[in-house]
Amino acid sequence: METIFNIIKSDFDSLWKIKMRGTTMEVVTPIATTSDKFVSVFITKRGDSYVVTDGGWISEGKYDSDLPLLNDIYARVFDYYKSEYGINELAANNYIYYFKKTTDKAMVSSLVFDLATFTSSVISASFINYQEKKELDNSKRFQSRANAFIKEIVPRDIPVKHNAWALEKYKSLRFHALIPYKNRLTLVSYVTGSNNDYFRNSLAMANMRFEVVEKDGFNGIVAHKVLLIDDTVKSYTSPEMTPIIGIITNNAKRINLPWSERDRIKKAVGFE
Amino acid sequence: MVFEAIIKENFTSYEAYLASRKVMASPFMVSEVKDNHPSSFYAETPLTSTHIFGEVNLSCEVSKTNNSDFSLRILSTIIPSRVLYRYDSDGPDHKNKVDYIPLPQQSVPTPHYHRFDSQGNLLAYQTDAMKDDTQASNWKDIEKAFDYFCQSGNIHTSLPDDKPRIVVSTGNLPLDFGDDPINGLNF
Repeated sequence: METIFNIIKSDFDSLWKIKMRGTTMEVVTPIATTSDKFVSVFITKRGDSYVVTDGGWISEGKYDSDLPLLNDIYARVFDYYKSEYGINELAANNYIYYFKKTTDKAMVSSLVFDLATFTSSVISASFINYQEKKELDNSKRFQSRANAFIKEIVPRDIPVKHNAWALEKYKSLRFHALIPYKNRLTLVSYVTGSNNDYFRNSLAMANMRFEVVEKDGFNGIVAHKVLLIDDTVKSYTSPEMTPIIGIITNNAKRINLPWSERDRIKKAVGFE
Repeated sequence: MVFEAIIKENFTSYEAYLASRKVMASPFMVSEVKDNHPSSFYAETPLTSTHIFGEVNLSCEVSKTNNSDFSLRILSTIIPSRVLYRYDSDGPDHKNKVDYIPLPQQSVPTPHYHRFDSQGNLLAYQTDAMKDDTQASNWKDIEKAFDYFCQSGNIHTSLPDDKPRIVVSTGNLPLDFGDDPINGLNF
């Protein structure tokens, strides 16, 4: 049995690799994701500290997943792992860099373990179906059409962010699109649903995000709040939903646009 | 997974498709910012072939901050994941998770190609040229790697004696901070 143990240990050990990237060391770990990628972590020194980070690879999609952070259930899973492993984040270059740091060399291995396990966990969990296939297909369809529409209307040199937070204090409040324009932000939330339950939930979440913006006072950095509502789904005209839609969209502080009237957004946010 | 079964059932056709002569419009311009990865440029262009295997496109994604970090793919509507054949210049090591490859050999570093085996497993592999350190810089050069990719994928332009070309247009943006992904960041 000892021989078997030696084989196992040797096989696992053989998976560790390093690649030097300037002054940063990439460590390929034996920890993998269900998308069949071995997790890499990047180690560098900044002053007296050793920094261990994912190098932005999670948000860059290097593990073949775009984290569904706008999904409430997935967001809870993600926050759980992030808090459990004590992971910090830095936003730069349009990416999020997840990291931990220490001044104690003896603790670097522990940080590598935490970062690699965190990466494997959040990536692998992102492949679970949190929605029924019909709803998943529907939300992807609308998101893709709406993203393409926004890309079409926003001047090319403006870096639009998708599924991103607007203020560090409210990282859990993510918007479908953030458009920086003339030193202020236009926030866009999409609303759709393959049935009334999903539609209601989507509407409620979008409303909640904007309410926080309006009540917190960070309205100052916000130019416009746009609710882009999918009026091609049955729920939009269902007798159960129309009064709720009427109340939520009766808000002069926001731009409430059904998809069929989407062209009005250009004039409303000043891109025209 | 569903696409494993689709490829397994259509493996002969899949192989015939990859081997078939494909034609693209050249040059292939890559200049649009990718929706879900704003730090990448991305483009797709149709590939035509006499062998039908779904609607097929050639794609390229290239990092804005590291021009030697890119992915070239042949994509088809025939499977949900779309990827039929793929080249990655950089990024994580792939794990060939199949029960006939011992663990130490399951790990395949970049650069690498991916293609399906007869059981529908998308496997990564390195050619001898990729393993040769003296040629490493060629595989990080998008124009050279694109040429290799087109040769191995039997991709041509409609003109005889004309090689497909790729042009990555970064506009007025700065770019290429090298292959250190955290260069200059203060944590």
